[in-house]
Amino acid sequence: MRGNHRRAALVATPVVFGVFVLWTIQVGGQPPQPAQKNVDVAGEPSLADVGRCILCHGSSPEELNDAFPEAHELILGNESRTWNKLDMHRKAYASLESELGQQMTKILRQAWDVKNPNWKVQDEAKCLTCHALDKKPKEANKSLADYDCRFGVSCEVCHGFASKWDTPHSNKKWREESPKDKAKVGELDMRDPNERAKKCSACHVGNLAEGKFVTHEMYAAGHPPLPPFEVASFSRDQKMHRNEKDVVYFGKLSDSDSWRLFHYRKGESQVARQLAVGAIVTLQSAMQLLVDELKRGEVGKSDHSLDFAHFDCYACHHDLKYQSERQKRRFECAPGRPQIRSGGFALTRIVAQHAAENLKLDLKLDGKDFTTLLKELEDVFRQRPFGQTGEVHGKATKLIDWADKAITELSQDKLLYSPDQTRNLMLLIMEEVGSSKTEWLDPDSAQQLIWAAETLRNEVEGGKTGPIAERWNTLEQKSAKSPVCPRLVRTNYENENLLADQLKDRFRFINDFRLDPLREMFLQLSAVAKGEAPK
Amino acid sequence: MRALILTLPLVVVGLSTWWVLGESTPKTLPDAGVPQSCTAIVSREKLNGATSCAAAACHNSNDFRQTKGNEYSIWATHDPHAQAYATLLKPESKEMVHTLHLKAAHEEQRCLACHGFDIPPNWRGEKLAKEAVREGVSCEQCHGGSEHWRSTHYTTDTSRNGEEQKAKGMTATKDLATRVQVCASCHIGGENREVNHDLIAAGHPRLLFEYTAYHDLMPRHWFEGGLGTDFEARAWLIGQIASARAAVKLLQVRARRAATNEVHAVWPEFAETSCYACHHDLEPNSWRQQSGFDGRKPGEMPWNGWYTAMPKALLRINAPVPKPAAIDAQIFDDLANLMRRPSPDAAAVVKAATEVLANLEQWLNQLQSTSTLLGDHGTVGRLTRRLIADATAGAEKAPPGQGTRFLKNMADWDHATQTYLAIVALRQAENDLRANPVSPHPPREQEDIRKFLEFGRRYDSPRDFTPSQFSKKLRAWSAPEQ
Repeated sequence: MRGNHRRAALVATPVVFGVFVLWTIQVGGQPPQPAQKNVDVAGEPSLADVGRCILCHGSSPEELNDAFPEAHELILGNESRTWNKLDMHRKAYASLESELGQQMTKILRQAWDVKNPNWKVQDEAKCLTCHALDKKPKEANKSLADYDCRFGVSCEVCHGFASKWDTPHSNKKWREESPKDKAKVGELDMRDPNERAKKCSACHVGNLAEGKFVTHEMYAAGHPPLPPFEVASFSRDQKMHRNEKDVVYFGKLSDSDSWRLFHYRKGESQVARQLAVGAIVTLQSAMQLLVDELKRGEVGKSDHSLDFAHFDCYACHHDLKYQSERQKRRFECAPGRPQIRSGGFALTRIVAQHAAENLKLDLKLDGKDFTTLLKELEDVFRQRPFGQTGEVHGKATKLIDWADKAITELSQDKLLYSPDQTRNLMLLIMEEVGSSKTEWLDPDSAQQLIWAAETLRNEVEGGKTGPIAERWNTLEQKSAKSPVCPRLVRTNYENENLLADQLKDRFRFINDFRLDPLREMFLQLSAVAKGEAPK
Repeated sequence: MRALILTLPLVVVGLSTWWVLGESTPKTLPDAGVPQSCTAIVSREKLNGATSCAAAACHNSNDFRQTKGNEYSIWATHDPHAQAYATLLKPESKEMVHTLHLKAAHEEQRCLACHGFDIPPNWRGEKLAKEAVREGVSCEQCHGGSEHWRSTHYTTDTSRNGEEQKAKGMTATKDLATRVQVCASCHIGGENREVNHDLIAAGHPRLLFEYTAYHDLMPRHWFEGGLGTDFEARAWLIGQIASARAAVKLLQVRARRAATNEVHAVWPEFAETSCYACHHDLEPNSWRQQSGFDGRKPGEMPWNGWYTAMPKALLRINAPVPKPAAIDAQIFDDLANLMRRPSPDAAAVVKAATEVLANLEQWLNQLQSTSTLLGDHGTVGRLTRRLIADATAGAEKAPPGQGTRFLKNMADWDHATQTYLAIVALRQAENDLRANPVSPHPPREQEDIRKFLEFGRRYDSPRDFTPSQFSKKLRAWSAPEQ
């Protein structure tokens, strides 16, 4: 009887919450039912809607623990609330309505020659494909009605359409199903580093097959430059709705089950593995975007070239200065010939180097390592501004193949990112930034490496405190007037102007970016990490 | 005085490029044995070097109280052209060639083409010393190879006969179109001399030539005698059209190389693009976004408008000067529309550039054959006011703080600066034409605009410029009817 009260309370909480959030939809009102038997895999899974998720994920950890202690082994119970209140994805659609969105509407209405004077970016598939929920992701031509715009990027965008698994996945038995079987009914395996990185990259890098591509035209109209993507840091940056104590449960499983079912290797840093795999996937997504754009008919034509969005933004976009750091760098590339956007390459190079030298994995493709293959692509852009399209295609395809191999190698059921190796990877990143080996880091690559180093440090030191963290904070305070090193924001998400404020800060970092102070800082950090007395 | 007024950073960058010589096709000497890269820059006659002009009794009197007879001395001591070669030995030049993986700058043909007196063996006169390469840009690079006139040009019989001297290979520098063409051969560039985006990215200053501004900075070793009271206005007008011709010709050369798939063709050539359209720090809600991108699609690279801004403005306001009857500002726009593509269609660009060139040639001929172009101060004053009105058109309708979007013609810093230089030149011309000239001291508003157009300390781009602020300042300067 008492149990029933508890359960009733658990249902009541999200219903109240749901009334607040979901005034536009009907709340199902059904408490979760245990699955009766095997799942029906026939037919396509469809949308279950946020309302269904809220029923279980819209309460609180305490209440869930009270009512369903076993469920609390894997979930927190407040996932929907966290997402609703603190997750930027929730604001994805709202940002189209912001001042910036209105500015883009004004500019793009003219640029795209839209006849309808009331058209706005909220009506545009090119925008909604990342800023809302696409109800028919497999169909090419979509109308406004094919998007669910109420909640921005909501649960099922990442976790898969839930009509066929929303009920069964609340059953404890669901834990024993393999990710492959779950995928058959539409649940995507967000615990798989590869799959998660691919899902995120689709929007955060781009995916032409899904119509997701922030073009230079959109940037020029005001779209913020996509930040250099690093999946482990971005996951950490979002107020996480993952129950980090799930590892306790995984620990009870056999080694093979915990890997097979949850991609968890005992004694390994999941974050480090996610970071490593994510770096490769990010690169692969960028290359795929390049290749896909080349495949689109227009690019081959004589007066067409690749969209500028593929190229390093800040190679061109900077005020010109005397004593330019860019000229000092002794161009590895040809001066005046923009290189492909490099957010991703620097981290990928370090991950690959670490995998080859420290983890003894063979990441070479046809005897060529990543650095060689990347140089071959860069040479194409050195030879001619924007490169010969045929050659770009060939070299980028090679990198995609290399990434496939690297992802397979890094996804082995084998202890790879032990605490020692995680520390090694962090050190390599710090040394890369700090050393003179890196002749030049563009602001994007620098930002990505800063985030990656910070995320790994968090892993190595097991939280916010530790000798490296302390030194980092001290150095940061010293340079408070002109920050050399912006860390993850993780700030007040209720701030209405968050996006605009962040943009101002980001531009400030990019515009004032100087490599030398950053180097100095990272030299000191790596010295601390190695236990050496810093200079 | 005006040299000071005009000391814009854009003029200072000109210090680095000073090789000047006519673009005439060689007539008397065969091409055989001459390196291809040199043929177009060599004059019609053999060259003998500055020392052959530097006799104390001829052009090297070393008497600075007068100009006549002291031409060489002025050049050697005051003229930056004499330092063109030395520039190649500076640390900045060393950095540049290092970055570009080239030979030492003072041995690199690409650099010597404008910075040195680098003459192939069979073009060398008997008097030309080996070390003459270090002369930089000296007498004959502007005045023509002296082999056939060196010993006669000072005799009374021939020195006054321009035609005869021309026949012997002396460049007609008194002819303004020819003079500008000579300057432009380096300061804008051509077939075998060009500063492309590779060089600029490695550190070479952007080329930014405006004839009257450069002319005022020259330590002059000559008089403009006999060129008429409207010289200043004429120099500006012919300078504009001749410079536009040189710039479009260079574009034609570049596009032709790309269209014929020449091995070393660089295409797209970013030096043809408006520098500061891309080269600016990013900011949210920038004036460029507010402006609606001047009719372009957002994110397209506009063609560099430095050389066509004023010819277009002259056509827009239907300026009271001779011009081809059929010429239309649209021909410039057609070319610009092709050039703003990410990778412009080279063959189409050659075609469009050829049409523009034909129009500019004709325009220039008409200007040349009109003895008095802008003969009274009233006409010049009206022209100035109409140029100001054209540059600021639309500003009057703009609510405060939103000026840029309302400007009809004003696009960027290049256009603004050309407008400023035009007004300075035309103001000077207007004053020259008055019976009682007023004080040549620049008004406060002019100084204000000059400072506004200057780049900030340690910057090489106009980071604080906005068209709306410029037009506001320009309207403040707009002179009342006199």
